[in-house]
Amino acid sequence: MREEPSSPTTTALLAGGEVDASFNAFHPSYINLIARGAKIRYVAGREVATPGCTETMTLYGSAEAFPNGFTDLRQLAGKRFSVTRQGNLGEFAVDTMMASVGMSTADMEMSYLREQDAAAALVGGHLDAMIGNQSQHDTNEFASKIVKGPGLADVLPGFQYSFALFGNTLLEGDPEVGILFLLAYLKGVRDYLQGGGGPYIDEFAASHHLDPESIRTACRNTVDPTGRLQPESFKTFADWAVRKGYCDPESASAVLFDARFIDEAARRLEAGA
Amino acid sequence: MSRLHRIAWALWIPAVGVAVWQVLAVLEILDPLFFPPPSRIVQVAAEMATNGELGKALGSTLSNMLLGYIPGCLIGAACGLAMGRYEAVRRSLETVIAALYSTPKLSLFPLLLLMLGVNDGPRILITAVACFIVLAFHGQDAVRAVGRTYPEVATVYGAAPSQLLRKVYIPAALPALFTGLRLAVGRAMVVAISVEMVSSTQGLGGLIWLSWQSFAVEKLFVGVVAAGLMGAFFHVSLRRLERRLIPWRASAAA
Repeated sequence: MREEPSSPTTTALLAGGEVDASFNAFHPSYINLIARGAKIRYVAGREVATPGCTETMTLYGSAEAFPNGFTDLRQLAGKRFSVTRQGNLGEFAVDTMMASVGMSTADMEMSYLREQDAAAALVGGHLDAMIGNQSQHDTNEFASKIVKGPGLADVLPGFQYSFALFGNTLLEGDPEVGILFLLAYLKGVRDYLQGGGGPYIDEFAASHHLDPESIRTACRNTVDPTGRLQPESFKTFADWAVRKGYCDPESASAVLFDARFIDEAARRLEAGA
Repeated sequence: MSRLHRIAWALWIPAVGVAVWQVLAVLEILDPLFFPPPSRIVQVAAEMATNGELGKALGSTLSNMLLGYIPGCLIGAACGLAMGRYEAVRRSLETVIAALYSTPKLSLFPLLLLMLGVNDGPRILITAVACFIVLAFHGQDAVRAVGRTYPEVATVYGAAPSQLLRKVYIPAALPALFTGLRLAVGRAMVVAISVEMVSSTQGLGGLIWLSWQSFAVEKLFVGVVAAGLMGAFFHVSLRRLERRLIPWRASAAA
């Protein structure tokens, strides 16, 4: 197991055969690489945007800029806003949320800062709002200066955004390996949804300087227990990536996923494997 | 040595490298997913030059870089000269500057965001700090290398402090300062592009990062090569300026 901070790095490792599988979100780099012939595919769905539950792709505002709370996306008009980077899920989420109320990022004063830099600027009064990860911002010592706002899950509920991917060795090799991997994954998901997680939660909390109890009690319903892939989510993201110029239309129409492994793993799990 | 000879010496290593890369990429010994043939990269570069994307990125990096480089070098050189000339200044500043030199400049970025806000200020200031440090050390060492003989002789002949500075210390320090300027321009480029990669959609840093994000590998190489060529351009330009302003350095070397 290795943890990589950026999707493009994971993409390169997967396409280059340095890793065999990864857990990752939608990213234009995967679409473009697959279109260029790289042997990587999305093989299972992990998380789904769930209102009231999804941690990522949530907007945060400064208490100063939103003294009466942050409940309406239209409040962002004219605000100083930071999206982490271009081309990632955060930008997709912001574009989608703004479009839902007939607005766009052109209605805001945009910056593109790393999440930690944006959080510093938010607390320091140099930004009015940002998109971020709830578990990091709700529970840290600056929580009183930050107001939680709407999230992608409120606008696009059911959008599948997190996946397992396989590289060449698992796609082209003995399919039993990939099936058993995903079967183990589904069993772990089942345990997690039933309240398990144990030592991993403590380890995760320690490495991210978070309160383990808050993670233990956080909503778990974002995780899809079936692991099944949702083609409509692929189309939604790919269409956005084409509109933004991160992928060309031919790339976006490439076959991005391979459902063989998860279908068989789910069947075996139902059969009591 | 003729001009053609000098150019050949400067370019033969990269030319051989590109030729080998082209062959290895065409034969797919190098994975073209990660190492596309240089001919393809040149094609993409031409497209980017034609549609203005490359020029815009270069212009943005250049302006951010120079806005930090020029004041950083000027203040650094002045500080270095003072540190070399006056012991009290050296004792006060040398350790602080040495500590700043070892600090990763990007680690200062969040603090500067808090102090200066979300604008070009933090980017320019980080670049200026990186250049300041180089020129401060070079200026200090250059003045200390002058020794005591020349200043004492000049003083005996009635030179005022300002004349000492203009006629003795600065001419003596110029060679080292120009070395510092060449080193500082490289650092300014690295810092400016690195900061663009983490905080901007503009400039070569923004171009390189977005190309990496979307795996547009040819554009990524165009960005990297453009940064290298820009650095080489400044290096050559500063060398030429040095030969004009310090003709005695070239004849001493000869």
